[in-house]
Amino acid sequence: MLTVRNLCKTFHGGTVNEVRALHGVSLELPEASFLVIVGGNGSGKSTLLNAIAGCFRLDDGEIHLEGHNITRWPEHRRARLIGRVFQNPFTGSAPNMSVAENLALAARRGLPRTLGRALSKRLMNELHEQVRQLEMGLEDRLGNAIGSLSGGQRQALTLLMATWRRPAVLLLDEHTAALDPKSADQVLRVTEAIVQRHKLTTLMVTHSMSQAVNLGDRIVMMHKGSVAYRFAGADKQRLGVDDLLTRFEDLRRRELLDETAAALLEETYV
Amino acid sequence: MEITRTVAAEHVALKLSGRLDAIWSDHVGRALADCIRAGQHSLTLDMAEVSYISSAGIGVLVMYAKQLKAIHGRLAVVNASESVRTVFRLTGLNTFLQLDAGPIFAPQPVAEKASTPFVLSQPGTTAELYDLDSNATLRVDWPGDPAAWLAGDASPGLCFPVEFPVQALGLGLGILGTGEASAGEHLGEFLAAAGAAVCQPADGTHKPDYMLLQGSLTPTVQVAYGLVARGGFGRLLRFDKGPEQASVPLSVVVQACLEAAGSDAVGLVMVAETAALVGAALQKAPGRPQADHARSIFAFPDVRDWLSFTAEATLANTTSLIVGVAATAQRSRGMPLLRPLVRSGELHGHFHAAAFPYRPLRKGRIELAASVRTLFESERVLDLLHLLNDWRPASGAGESRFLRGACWCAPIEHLQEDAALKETMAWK
Repeated sequence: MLTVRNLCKTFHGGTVNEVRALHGVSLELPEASFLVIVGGNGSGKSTLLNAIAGCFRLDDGEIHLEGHNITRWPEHRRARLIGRVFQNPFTGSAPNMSVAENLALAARRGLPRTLGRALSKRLMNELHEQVRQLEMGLEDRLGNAIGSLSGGQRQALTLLMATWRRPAVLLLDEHTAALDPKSADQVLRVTEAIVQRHKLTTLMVTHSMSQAVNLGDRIVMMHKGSVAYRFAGADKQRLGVDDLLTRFEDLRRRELLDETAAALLEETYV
Repeated sequence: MEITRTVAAEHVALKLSGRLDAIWSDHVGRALADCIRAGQHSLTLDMAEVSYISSAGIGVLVMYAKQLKAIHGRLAVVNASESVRTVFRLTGLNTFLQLDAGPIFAPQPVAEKASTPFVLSQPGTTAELYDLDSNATLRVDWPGDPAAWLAGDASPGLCFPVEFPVQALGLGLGILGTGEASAGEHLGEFLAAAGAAVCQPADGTHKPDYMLLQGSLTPTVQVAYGLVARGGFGRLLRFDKGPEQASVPLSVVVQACLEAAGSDAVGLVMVAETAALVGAALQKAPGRPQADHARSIFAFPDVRDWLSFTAEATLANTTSLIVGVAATAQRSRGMPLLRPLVRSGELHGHFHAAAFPYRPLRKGRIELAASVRTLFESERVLDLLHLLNDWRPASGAGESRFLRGACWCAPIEHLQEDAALKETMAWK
């Protein structure tokens, strides 16, 4: 269960560059729910994910995860509860280490460091099995440096690494945006499979309306640092790509409706 | 594949050369669609240099031939090459695509009667007028009190069930069906004409719902407020932007309808190929009476929650159904719900438009109910707007504009006196 209450964050406050990145965002995500966050550029989607991950201090608001108030926890402490995958396939894994070594690191994440063999036989077997389940043919390349793999393959492995320790919440920040369409589809398929298999509570940021419509069980549309629309349950199920685009258009129209337009409406509407 | 276009007085000739296969059939389809959108309903295809035509190519030709046939236009293939000729003969399409008919000019006008040329205030625009019934008039009622609804203090249960048979038109705020509408939660803007009613619930979904006259089912709207007109249409005005103009603005068409009806107040239904619509739609149902009786839905910034205003031209390349009432400034004083249509205030009116996927209109004298019914064949109503003229300097989007269309109009009966009007306002 993830609860986010009244998150507020202003960057460069008091200067000409002041940006109200988050403005009273509240969310309640029950266990194993999958939330897709959509919104225009600069609407605060990524900032929200970063706020949950603890990348900066909030101006106001509280974050509760699995019964802990993590609002004041530093980023590294939260990392034990949070798995993250970023847009860039080159972040999240060490390029010169092999696939197996990268996964082994993920497997030991948050555990005490010991002098034991990093890659025990048992762990190797488990790695092999998990990688095989990705159905990307990577189980035969466990010894290869991860830097030699394609973006899609790397992103799938990063996802596996991020979820190895079953995080309390998984944050996906446009993790397919830098991939070609086929790789993006593959990574999405893997994402869905992993999230379902482990019943992970997930937040995914995307610019793709079709991803938003087809994935997850709830959608939040952000605008100017606030939640503009929420869809869950039956509302989410009947939502089509066109409906989401209409909502986007509505947000744009809201901006265009200024005082002069309001005066015009008062004079000519009814 | 190459397409060469020649425009003659009465028809457009397209000369194709190359292979008409799956790759190029879309391209040819777009060229045909462009011609139709430009108002050319008589097209010939010179296929002397077409070496091959696949079933994909045949499909496109048949589709447009059917579309044109439905609006009394025609698509004819001329000078077909030997291979094309063979394919057409084997598929049995010779007659349908009018092969061997030779070059065809002049569309065959359907026995038009009594059309008189008519002059619109915009130069270059063409129009003609058809007399339908010189005695026809419309009688208008204004059920409900808009001010009370918008201020949030209308009594619940104050919706009037109104049936819309073919002879009635209406618009306003309401809800389709005969069910319980007292709470006002599903209310939205509606229009009704020629046995069809469209309503867009004010819940921000932009999903208009509709009801058509079918058998003994007559569309019924629970009207919170609005105007309802009953009677017949005396005149049919056909207009076309002409080759020089990009479009015809709504106010020009409405002014022409006033002149055509020879009255200072007119009710009209229009079906038009649309260049742009500008307007607003209620986003939130007025609902139950509010505690704050002083609410104004136009106060900034709350207005953003209440109304979605296009603020720029939208719904280009659609065909729309428009229903409304218009009057001169003087006559409009006694009529509720009428607001200025032009900045000078000379013309007042209230219009709602439902937009449908683009569909060309047949030329000449057409029938209202059939034309409206055709619009619903796509089973998709794209949007419903309360049309407004955004005349703000610099940032204004202007008014709704049309390529060509048909307007059925009739004068609105003079009410005997103001007392009679007040009585209709307290419509029970």
